[in-house]
Amino acid sequence: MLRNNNKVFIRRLSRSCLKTSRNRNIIAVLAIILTSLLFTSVATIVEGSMQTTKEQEIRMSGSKFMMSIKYISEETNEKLLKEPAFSQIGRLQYLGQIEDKKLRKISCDFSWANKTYIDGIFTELQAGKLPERGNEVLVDSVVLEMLGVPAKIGTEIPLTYWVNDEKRRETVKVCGIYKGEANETTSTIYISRPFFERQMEGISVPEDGTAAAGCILLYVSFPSEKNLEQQRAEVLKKAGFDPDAERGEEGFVVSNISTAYENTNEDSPAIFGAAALLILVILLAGYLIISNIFRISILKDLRMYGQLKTIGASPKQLRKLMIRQADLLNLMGIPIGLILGFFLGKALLPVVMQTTIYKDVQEIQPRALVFAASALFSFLTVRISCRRPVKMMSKMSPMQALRYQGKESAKRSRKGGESRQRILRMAFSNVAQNKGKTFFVVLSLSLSIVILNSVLNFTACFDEETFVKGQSGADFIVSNIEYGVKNESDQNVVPREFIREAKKRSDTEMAGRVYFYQPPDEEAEAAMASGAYDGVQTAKVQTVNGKPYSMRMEMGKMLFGLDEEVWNRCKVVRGQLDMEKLKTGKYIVEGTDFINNGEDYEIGLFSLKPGDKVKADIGTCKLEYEVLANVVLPTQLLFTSSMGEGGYFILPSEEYLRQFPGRLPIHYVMDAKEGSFQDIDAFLKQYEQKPQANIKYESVEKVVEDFQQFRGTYSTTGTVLAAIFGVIGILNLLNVILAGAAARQREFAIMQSIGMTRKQLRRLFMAEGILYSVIAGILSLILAAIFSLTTVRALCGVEWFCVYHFSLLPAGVLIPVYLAVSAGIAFVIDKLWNSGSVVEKLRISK
Amino acid sequence: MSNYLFYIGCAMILCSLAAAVLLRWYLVTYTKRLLYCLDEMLAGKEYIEIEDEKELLMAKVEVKLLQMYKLLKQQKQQSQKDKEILETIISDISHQVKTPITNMRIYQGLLQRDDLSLDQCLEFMRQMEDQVDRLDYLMEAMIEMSRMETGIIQVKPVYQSLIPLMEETVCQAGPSAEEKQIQLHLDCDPQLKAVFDKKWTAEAVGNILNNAVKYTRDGGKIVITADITDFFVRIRVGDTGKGIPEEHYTEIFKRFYREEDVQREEGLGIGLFLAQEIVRRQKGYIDVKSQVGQGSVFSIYLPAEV
Amino acid sequence: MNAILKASGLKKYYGTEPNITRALDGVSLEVMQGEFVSIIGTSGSGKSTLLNMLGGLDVPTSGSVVIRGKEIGKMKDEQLCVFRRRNIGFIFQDYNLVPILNAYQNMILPIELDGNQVDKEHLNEIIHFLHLEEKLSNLPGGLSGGQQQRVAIARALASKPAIILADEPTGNLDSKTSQDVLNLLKVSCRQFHQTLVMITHNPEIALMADRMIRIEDGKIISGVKDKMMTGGMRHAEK
Repeated sequence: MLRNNNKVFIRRLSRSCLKTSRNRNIIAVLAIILTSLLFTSVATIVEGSMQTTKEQEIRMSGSKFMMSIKYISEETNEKLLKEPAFSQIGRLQYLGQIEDKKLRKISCDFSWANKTYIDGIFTELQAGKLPERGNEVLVDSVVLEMLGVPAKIGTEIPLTYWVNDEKRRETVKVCGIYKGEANETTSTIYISRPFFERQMEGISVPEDGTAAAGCILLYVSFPSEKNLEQQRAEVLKKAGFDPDAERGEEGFVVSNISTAYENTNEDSPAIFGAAALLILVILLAGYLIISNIFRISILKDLRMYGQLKTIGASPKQLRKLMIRQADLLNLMGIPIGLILGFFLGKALLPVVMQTTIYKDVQEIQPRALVFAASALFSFLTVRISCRRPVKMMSKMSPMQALRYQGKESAKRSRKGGESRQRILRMAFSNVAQNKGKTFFVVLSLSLSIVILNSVLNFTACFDEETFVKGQSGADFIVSNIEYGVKNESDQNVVPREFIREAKKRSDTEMAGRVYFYQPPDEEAEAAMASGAYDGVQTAKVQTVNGKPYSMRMEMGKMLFGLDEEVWNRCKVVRGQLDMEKLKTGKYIVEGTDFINNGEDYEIGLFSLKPGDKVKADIGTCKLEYEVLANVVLPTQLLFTSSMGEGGYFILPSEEYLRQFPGRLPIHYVMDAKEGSFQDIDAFLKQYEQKPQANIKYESVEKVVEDFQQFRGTYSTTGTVLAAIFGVIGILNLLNVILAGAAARQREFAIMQSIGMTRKQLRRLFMAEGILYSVIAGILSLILAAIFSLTTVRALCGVEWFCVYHFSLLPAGVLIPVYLAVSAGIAFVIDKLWNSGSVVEKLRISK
Repeated sequence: MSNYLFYIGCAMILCSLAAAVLLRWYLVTYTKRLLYCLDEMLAGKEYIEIEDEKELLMAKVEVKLLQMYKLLKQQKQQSQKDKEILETIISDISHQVKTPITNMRIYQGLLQRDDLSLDQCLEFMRQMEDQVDRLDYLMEAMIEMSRMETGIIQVKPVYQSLIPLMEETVCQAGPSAEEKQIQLHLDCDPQLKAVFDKKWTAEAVGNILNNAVKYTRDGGKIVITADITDFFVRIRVGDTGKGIPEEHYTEIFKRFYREEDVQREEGLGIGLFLAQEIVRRQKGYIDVKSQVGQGSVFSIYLPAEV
Repeated sequence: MNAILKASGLKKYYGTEPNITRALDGVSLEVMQGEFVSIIGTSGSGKSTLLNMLGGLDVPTSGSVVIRGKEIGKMKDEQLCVFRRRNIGFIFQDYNLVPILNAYQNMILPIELDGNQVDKEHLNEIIHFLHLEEKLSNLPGGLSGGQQQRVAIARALASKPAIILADEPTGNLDSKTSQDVLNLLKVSCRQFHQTLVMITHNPEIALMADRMIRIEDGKIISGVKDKMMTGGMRHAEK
């Protein structure tokens, strides 16, 4: 049916209503701003972190491309490209490898690539252009530095390089320079297409999945990021390959999905879950404040709604009236909240990202979706919080509403007492009277205290010593400068000169060597070709206790040699570590890494027991040992890429050197004597700088720094969270004090008229405000203690680097702050509200 | 893409069709209600059920229609009543007119005789004059009635002094009061001003004063005072007449109303009605207080300012 | 003509048996269209309760109120409000002006509530009569008691409701003004054929009505029928 057209009055009346209850509006708008601010900032952070994570993963993977197909011939390339399945095609054609003494730290390719590829791998051109003709090249700035060539366009460099097995020499001209990364282990010098073609003359490209001169590496993207694995299979099938083929099988081609795209969906449930939880908490907090404000203001205006009802305003109209007011307040609050929230989120994103491995934060652009969602959430919060008070209002009969004077004013017309105690008692009874309100305020205040206390208690439990012990094998670990860069471990050794130098020092508590041998690539390849799969094998176990060893698929075990000093770092799990016995050369030890960098290890990783007799090929010899013990070692002491799952063998260095004479250690491990840490650090730093030093070192100090940063991010996150709740709590406090002031205005005026002084009134007011904080303080101390003893302790048990201890210090610091803030709020409200003459107040409140 | 557009287009067309159907249904129900109300009214039903508790446009229309219907009906009833009374009164007057005319004929015939003494002649002449007076009064009443019916009371209130009005009316009433030996007291502040139309107000006050004179026994007393209240200037006419019972306070201002026990007095029962009508049109009003046997006070309230 | 307002067996009890208060104890009455009825009684006699019941502001313990053939006790809250807005004008003893609206806005509020046009001429007449021209833009807080009462009366008259329920409409006015205001009410009621039910404790004012109902201890002791046969009925029916 055609509805009545009576909306005009709602517009007018809501405007009048808003105009009259200015104080309520300010608080309501603040609450709405806060709610939408929190929503927006959370949404921005979630959005931004996902965006950043993705971006960083892509960046870390080195290219924007979703898939790579490597080492293919021109024909295959054409076959693949016939299908227009790709949105982007980057193409790299490999020519050869640069050989230069000055480039020992890195491996440098000599290749041609199209522009899509060069752009797609985040190449930042610093100067010049891409190579086009002749011997023009595009070079990495770091490579130029290493070569000792001025970073200038037009510089000519003589280069030696391998094309397949042929060593060639050419002088090239720098036509462009791109930014290199200092710690990068690979680099490419890009050549021009004509140069490449000239070089390739007479060379045929085999298609065997290896990096031969002239082979094509395709880097491609699909229009959609979804189901990349399936898309890869389809593309390969169409080109006549078998996507499931293994190396060596028919139809095999090297193709990989970029890791950045592989696991995009993996961590999002967690992020979404956390965001949903946070949003729920904010929704609840926002709901509490806003509904509180609306309830109080409706109670305050209940008489008016009753009046409206008597002259024929229907409940529906009144509801519309209320909702319109809420909408108008929304209209004021939400945009401000959105803008502030966006900037807050933007400011907080780096802090949040600190907790992840992706520290490099992208600039976030405002997103309409984020704003729309936040606005909708805030809007819904306000609407939902309106519901209850509005319902209450529309249910009340007009006479009931007319008679309503506010609960508070009906009671207590006691004389304004003189004594302080009387005022305190009045404050107490006021606070006790509104149990519901008091509960909200106290709860929200305590929540922030408890959160802060728990988080800071937890981070305080992060034990530096444990962390450092777990994260480092020793005070200093010295390695070859190319250690971890190149695989050829026969060269990646600590130079003899350094060891000689270091041995001279008397301020070391301990110094020892760690030996490890990994066969050079050729050897490994040879081993692979002969069917031995594991290229890093150094000890191949033949029989255990006379039986063939085939318990696991592992064919070989890594073999380490340790100095006696370093043996002390081992934690013996089974058997006895008898050094005398060990030195006889008849015994071997099986070791494994600590898990989680802590004290833990997995016993199942040991494949042998003490007493087992092992026959193994070590190097070229067949040897027989008895297993003496099972031990656990810090990972840092071992080889960086010792990713083997099973245990490894450890020999005493004497026996090790007997088998591999003349070997140099991969690590030189030192512990400083008390007080001499700085000296050794200075010595190493100085030594490292020497031109022919060829060493690098890692000190425990870096781990300490890591630890502090790690702890800092946790504390910051916790503090931010606590601050959010603190703001909510304080707003609630403000709300309840103001509401009390509004409801009891008349009562106050009466009290004043019968002789209560302004000072006493203010004292009463402030006593009330402080009382909330005191109750919240007591409650939060209890809760924080409970949390500390349960949750924090449990968390500490889970994290290996935590040593639990009980603390209420953060709460103890925060509570006085809240006390001061609440007193301040009460003071300010008293100033704002209770000014003016007594008569005026009596009149207004009528 | 084009499929999407097609579906969206279809959905939109369906929606607008539904909207059109709904709208038509609304209009039909609306019109039905309206027709129902009009039918009921045309049938002259006493009780028409309307949906005035619903928040609908139709309900508002119904309420207004009903209001108008009731008002018209009431007016119709009133005029019917008036007409009936008027008819009886006209026949009444016709009868009353007949008597003086017959009497005058007789006196005229008598006067034409030669054998009359001067005294007798004078006596007949006086008798005739009485009859003329009576005719005159009847004519006057009829004129007033016709004026009322044609609604030619057109007041033009102006802000003016009260005293001339008071003096005029008192002067007019003077002779008849003197005849009945009734004392007339006028007490009026010369500064007093009010908003009124002098000619018509004089008639209204005169009517009330005439009534007072008429119903006050010989040797009685009439006091006319004027003073000012919050919003009004009040002219009070107090008499020592027979008084009016409380329950007749509102009745006496009704048209053609006459107290049972004063039926023998001359009059048509339109004097007070006319007075009230005149005063009301000047945004004033008249009220009355009385005690039976003691006298009555009529108060005429005229707006004190524009 | 039918009664526009009909109450039968109205009872309002507060509390439970031993301490029961009978605010109204079986009140029945009928009011004709266009009639002016005054209800008189001492304070606490239940007259305000009766008026509130007649207007549907309060729910009786038992009994029914029928207005224009509709039993208002059976209406839903929503319907009752709309019904009240269209049919009843209230004048409250304590005015009940909306504090956040100025005098003029208060007056036109019932009209706006129903989305109707304000009859400006009519309203101006009322305003003029009640001498409120100067006070139109004042908030109720800035008006004296008498002024507020006049605004409340203007509000009740402005929307020309069929029934006006007035609770001591002249309680805050001096006796001269009271007379004026009551006459205004009467004039308006005549003009628009409105029905006026007025509560008062002042016999002099009560006497201005067509009919006077006396109520004591929640019961009507006189005035239900007698006058209806003579005064009220006569002018209303003939």
